[in-house]
Amino acid sequence: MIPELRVPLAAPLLLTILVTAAAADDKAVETLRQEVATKGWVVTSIKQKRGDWDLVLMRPDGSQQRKLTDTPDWSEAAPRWSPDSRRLLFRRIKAGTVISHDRWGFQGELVMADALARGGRVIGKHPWGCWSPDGTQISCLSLKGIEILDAASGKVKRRMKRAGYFQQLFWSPDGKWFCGTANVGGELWTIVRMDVTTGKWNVVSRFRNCTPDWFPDSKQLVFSNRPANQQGYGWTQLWMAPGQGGRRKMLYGEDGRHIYGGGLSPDGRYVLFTRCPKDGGGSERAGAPGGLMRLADAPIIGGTSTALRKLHPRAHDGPVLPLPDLWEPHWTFANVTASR
Amino acid sequence: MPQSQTPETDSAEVPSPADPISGRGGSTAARWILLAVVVVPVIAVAVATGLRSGLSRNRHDGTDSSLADQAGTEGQVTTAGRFEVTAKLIELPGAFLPNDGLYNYAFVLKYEVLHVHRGGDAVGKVIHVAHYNPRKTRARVGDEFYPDLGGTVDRFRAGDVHRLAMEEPWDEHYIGPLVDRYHETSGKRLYWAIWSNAVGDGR
Repeated sequence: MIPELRVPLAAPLLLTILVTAAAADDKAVETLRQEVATKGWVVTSIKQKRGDWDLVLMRPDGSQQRKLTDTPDWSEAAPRWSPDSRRLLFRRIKAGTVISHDRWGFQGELVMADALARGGRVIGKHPWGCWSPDGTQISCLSLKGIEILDAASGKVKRRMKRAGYFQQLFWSPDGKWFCGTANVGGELWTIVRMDVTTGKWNVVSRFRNCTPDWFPDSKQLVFSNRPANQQGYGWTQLWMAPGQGGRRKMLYGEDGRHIYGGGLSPDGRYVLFTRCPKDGGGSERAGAPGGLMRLADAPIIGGTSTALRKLHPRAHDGPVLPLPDLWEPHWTFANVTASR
Repeated sequence: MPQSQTPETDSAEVPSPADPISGRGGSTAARWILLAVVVVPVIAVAVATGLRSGLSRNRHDGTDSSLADQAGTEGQVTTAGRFEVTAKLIELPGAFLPNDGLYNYAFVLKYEVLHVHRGGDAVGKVIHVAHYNPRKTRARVGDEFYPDLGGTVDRFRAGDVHRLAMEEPWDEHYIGPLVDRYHETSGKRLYWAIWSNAVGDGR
């Protein structure tokens, strides 16, 4: 071939390859969207134009959005359905308050309502209020320690030492464990699992971890971690690890985005998260673009992320289903919109 | 009349028991008694006070406690918490973490106690104190979660002397990330700093 002809032929070929790849990506994302679109509902906080946050119900693909609350004087944050999905816990925070990325559980008051956030009643300050597996109790974390309340009466049934926990305490689906972020061995931001009965605890992940949550099987945890092996400040990624500690696995990472708020689907096959350009989950601003991926496709690396791809050479490029800007989503397979 | 040539004997008065001169002698005794009863105790008190002051000045650190009592008393340092000390910051055990407008934490510093204002014998000679967000000036460190914190310390430097109002145990007053480079020091009491005033450069 005459050399001068290579360039004009290479360009269209390259363009074709790129367009084809993009189309393949789009198709993969569309396949994922169709896969999850009817798998129950997601409730999340979305910031309104007037400045407060309201609860919004949507399908897992972000469609069929409807507001569950519309309260200019209040922000409703961090909703969680009860295990039977008949009730909702969320925090009510005075509008105008900047919602803390990591201390939101101390802000405002805990509200209990029905599955669609109707008939809500403030049950107390109850920091980090979280459902027990049978929905009859609520765990809380405060200076006093870990308190387990009767959900109906709000009375404290049991108190435990908090053993270094300082935020984000969540009860495992099988009722046996707490997870949370703790101070351990002089190091902060350590994910710790605690036996609910004995109070004994173990480290799940050390060094710069945040927003832990349970897998449905109660055997594994999803959490955010900003590894040390990065240039400069680094980027926060989504990871998982066994509850007893041990080998961690990256689920999603993307240079240029901080990944927080990991939440599993009820069957443990998918994970929701937020991708924020600045550190934090976006609650201090207007939320962050959401994302949804299959666990089976992990690890996935978004963007160029050159150094990260070298560390995880077998990582996939996707698919990741983009979701609206949101914060702290929670997923149920129950048809919460039906009369029950 | 002729002048006598022989002087005549002065009819000087000779005291007699009934003489007023005997009354003057009693007054003198009374004066001495008054002196003993009033003046001596006054002198004794003055001496005792002086001795006590001298003893105070001669504390182990050699500082003048009268001055120590007055230094760094701005704001709530004399009323907040149950413990109050003047102490020298021994060292900075590593860099403070950035806040970046996002994260908040407490950082443990080690002090040599120079003077205990409140807390008595419960306060040791070396103490560990958790300070909230040490990168911030104490005047601006109070926030939504810990509004009662304050002081005049602008920055933490090894060797500086601070007057601290504190509470303990720390985890009954603070719940949050804690950077403790002394975590392996067994048996230490960790205080939570409520008010931190600058006293001076101890170097």
